Amino acid sequence: MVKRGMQPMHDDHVNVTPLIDVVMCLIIFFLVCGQLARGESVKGVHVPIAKHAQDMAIKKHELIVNLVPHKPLDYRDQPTIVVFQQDVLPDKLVQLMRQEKRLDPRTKLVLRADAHLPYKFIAPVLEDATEAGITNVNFMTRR
Amino acid sequence: MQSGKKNRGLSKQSLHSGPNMTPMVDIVMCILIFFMLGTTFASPDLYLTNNTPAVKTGGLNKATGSAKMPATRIDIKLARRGAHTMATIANFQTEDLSGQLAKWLKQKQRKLRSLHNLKMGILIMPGNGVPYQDVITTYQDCTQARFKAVGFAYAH
Repeated sequence: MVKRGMQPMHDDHVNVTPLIDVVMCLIIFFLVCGQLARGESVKGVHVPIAKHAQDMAIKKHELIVNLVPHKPLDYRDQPTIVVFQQDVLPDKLVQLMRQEKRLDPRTKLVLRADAHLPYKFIAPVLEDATEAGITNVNFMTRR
Repeated sequence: MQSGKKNRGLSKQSLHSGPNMTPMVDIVMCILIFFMLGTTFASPDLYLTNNTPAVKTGGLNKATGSAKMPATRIDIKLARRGAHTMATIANFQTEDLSGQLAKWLKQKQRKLRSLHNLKMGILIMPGNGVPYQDVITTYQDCTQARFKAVGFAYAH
């Protein structure tokens, strides 16, 4: 009996279609589950632990203020204030906050400070926010 | 003889008629490696939100700043003793922040609710040397006890 229709293909090469399928799935997985490193976050800051902290619903109008310890594991000196990836002098912070508040009245402060820093370095930032009229303050934490 | 060899070669070539997938696989692999290196699986950013951040206090613990606090409030003083942070509220004092304060605040809130839903604010007054972590822990205890207006003193 003669077989009709298409003849089965005999290919010497490896079939890469399943490989592409798997790799595409991996790419989609990384796109959905992963998040690219955020530009505003500065390394060297270990934010405090808070079990009941929540994710922010709307991540707009944020003014992220990073308080980075001057030296690793040394919390006695004035920490470096980093805003928009630039160092800011403590005296100039209130000015910057006022400017941001003027540009966007819905500006909210996100304080990203090291958990070990003494409160004497945190208080001036809160004071500056109050003076600049920013009443919505968010403390960045981790679980 | 020669014509027979040629025919065999042609029949082999005709089997690879599909598109060449090699460059695509290369590019896709590059994209995959980029995402693997550029992605962080750190937990998403979490926040504790506050609408009464800073209250300037005078010598008599009187709020003088622009931030609004309820007329009645509880002052929580935080002070560093050795390796621990102590919380003091009027006559009540905790040895550390391991849970005593949270329990006290919840009890207080329950009492306040029984008193015609009396609204009371909290002013956290940390000492200069108190670590930020302990300030956040105290603030979290306050929010967990459902106190709405919680402020931070910045001079006392």
